Amino acid sequence: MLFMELKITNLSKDFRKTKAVNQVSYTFHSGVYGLLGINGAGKTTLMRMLTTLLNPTSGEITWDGEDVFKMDKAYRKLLGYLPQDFGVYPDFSVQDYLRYIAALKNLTPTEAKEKVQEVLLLTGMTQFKGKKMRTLSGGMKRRAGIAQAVLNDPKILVLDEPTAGLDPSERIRFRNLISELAADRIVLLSTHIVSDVESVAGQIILMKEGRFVATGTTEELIAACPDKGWLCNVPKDEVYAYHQKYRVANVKTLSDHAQLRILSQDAPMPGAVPEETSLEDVFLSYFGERSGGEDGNGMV
Amino acid sequence: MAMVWYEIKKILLRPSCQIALLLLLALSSYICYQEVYGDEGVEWLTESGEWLKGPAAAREMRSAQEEWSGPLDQAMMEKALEVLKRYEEEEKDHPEDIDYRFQRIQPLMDIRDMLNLAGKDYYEWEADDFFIAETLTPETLPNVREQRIKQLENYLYDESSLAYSRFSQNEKEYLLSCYEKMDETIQMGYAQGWSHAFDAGYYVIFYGSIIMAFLVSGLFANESRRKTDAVYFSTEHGRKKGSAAKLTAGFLLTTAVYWALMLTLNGLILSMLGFEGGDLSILAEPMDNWRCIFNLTFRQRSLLALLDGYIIWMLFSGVAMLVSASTRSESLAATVPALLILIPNALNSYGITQGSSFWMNFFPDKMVRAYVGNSPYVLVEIFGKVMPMLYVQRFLYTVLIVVLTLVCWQIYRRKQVR
Repeated sequence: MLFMELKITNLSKDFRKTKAVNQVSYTFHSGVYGLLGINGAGKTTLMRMLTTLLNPTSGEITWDGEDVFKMDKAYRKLLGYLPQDFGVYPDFSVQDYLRYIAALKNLTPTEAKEKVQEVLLLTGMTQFKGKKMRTLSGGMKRRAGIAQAVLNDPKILVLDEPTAGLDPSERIRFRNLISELAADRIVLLSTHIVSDVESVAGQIILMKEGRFVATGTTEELIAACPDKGWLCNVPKDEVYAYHQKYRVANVKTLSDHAQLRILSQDAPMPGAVPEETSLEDVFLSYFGERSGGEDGNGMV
Repeated sequence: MAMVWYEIKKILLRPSCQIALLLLLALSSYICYQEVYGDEGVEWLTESGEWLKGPAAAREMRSAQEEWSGPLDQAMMEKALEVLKRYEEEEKDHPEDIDYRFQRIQPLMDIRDMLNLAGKDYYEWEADDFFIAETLTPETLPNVREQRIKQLENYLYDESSLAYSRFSQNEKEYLLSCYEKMDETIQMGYAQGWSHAFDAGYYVIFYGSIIMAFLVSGLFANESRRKTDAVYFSTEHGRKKGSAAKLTAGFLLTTAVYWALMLTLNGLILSMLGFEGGDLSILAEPMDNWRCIFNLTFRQRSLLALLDGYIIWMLFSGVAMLVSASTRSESLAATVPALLILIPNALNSYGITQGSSFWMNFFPDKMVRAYVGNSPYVLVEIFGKVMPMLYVQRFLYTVLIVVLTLVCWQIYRRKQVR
């Protein structure tokens, strides 16, 4: 008998002619997994299948060897989910909202009362528990979202773009919170923001056009990356030409020239200084120019 | 129960639902006022020529009608005839007082109506002769029960009558059997409270069902509109017990609002106009019920109308929730039930479909109107047994509520969230 194994096998989801998720297989055990990809890569569709919100077109998802769709509520009992588009009941107070979700998660009123206080404390929302959900800021709503997701001490915590739209301090707070929650559970964190994943995820999955294009730890992905980072000083009027020829991770304009960080297998020019490859470089290497996301270039 | 409570809370906390509930309350208050004090209310003309309305008028009427309460036998009719004729004569001596006769015959208006209606052999839906009573003599006073049956026979078997071809032989026999079940002698008396409470209930059932459908229309659709469905469906109970809780909340709220409103409305009107007369046959108010095929007392009619109204409200809530769950559109969910009752009612009101379409008789507006005054006979024959459409509707709608609930639950618990 396996313990805490969430396994996806040849999982696909088609929307008419579009393959949102295309034949992906992976096994999750306890730990934080970062699902990294640009918008439209299929991350949300995959997460919605993992949370049984969508039925796969083909393939299967199993928990300790059992089909999760057949497990039905026994599987959902293990789940905590924070969706990307996290909607709220505007007329509910934060406490009402959490108690309602607690009831849906099969917590008794006594358990719910206790647990709600606990998650309010965990997310720093205690003083806002009486506030109407409609009056909360984006960051507060996300905190309430995390709070509802962990109400039932889920074995599988699925967080879809949890830091989207948050300011840097809220984002750091979130990352710390996720790290706190990671013990003894599977945390699947989807994002297109590299630094979020880099700081908390033990395993990273790069997803592109519905497929897993690379998986591993940050170090493994960096080691496997075909490109290296090079620091090059170029005349300002040649910046465009370098953009055309190479993947440029960064441009820094100085007084008499420009300093480019270029991703390339070989030195792009004489005098180029090799630099340590980062996860951002890996991301850019796989996703190229399309990696520009809503939060800016797919990076923080 | 916690889930049900929060689902109800979702509805009650919404400003639009609060406005709808206030509207329902205002509408019911207006209807109640109209039935007590308004144009539809109880009126009484005093000897000094003052028009009383509402409870004051009811007190006067009740007191004056005591003398004319009891079995409408030959003696009572002769006594009434004598009074009617006396004031018809005396009226000529008081040309300056246009209300002279009316003021004095007010207590026996129902008996006069009965004589007007029973004093003829023909049967018409409209254009009754309101002065037959005064033309009668003690020798020509009608047997009310026999005259009612005779009129119906003439109506059903006269080849020039619309009814001749409209009703089958079985249906004609059924209608006659309903009239034959009438008591030999009708008990007359004051029953204004019951009568007006019933009339008020009709309007509240009709328009309230539309408002109630609006109240529950967002129960399912709003989860999708507000994007709360992803969390909802990913929870342990979201798909099964959660969906059942939504349905329970919808029906529970419908039940609570309906009974609170209707019992308050009936209680208010009865307390203002009087509880007397509940045991009288509805024929004691002949002008409104002469052709009615239901042999009921005022109290029985009120109770049955209350139950029928409850079925209609539950049905409309069920339809609204089903549309809400299947289309994820709150506006569509609120509109469909409204159209289901308003369109057939409008078509019937303008005579576009009346009697011409069998299927139109299945719509809920017919059920709401079933006990209203002299509504046309709507019958149905099942396996050779004739019965009012109302009985079929009661059964069908109850089954439909159960089916709609199950279908709604099945649809919603299988929803996918993209």
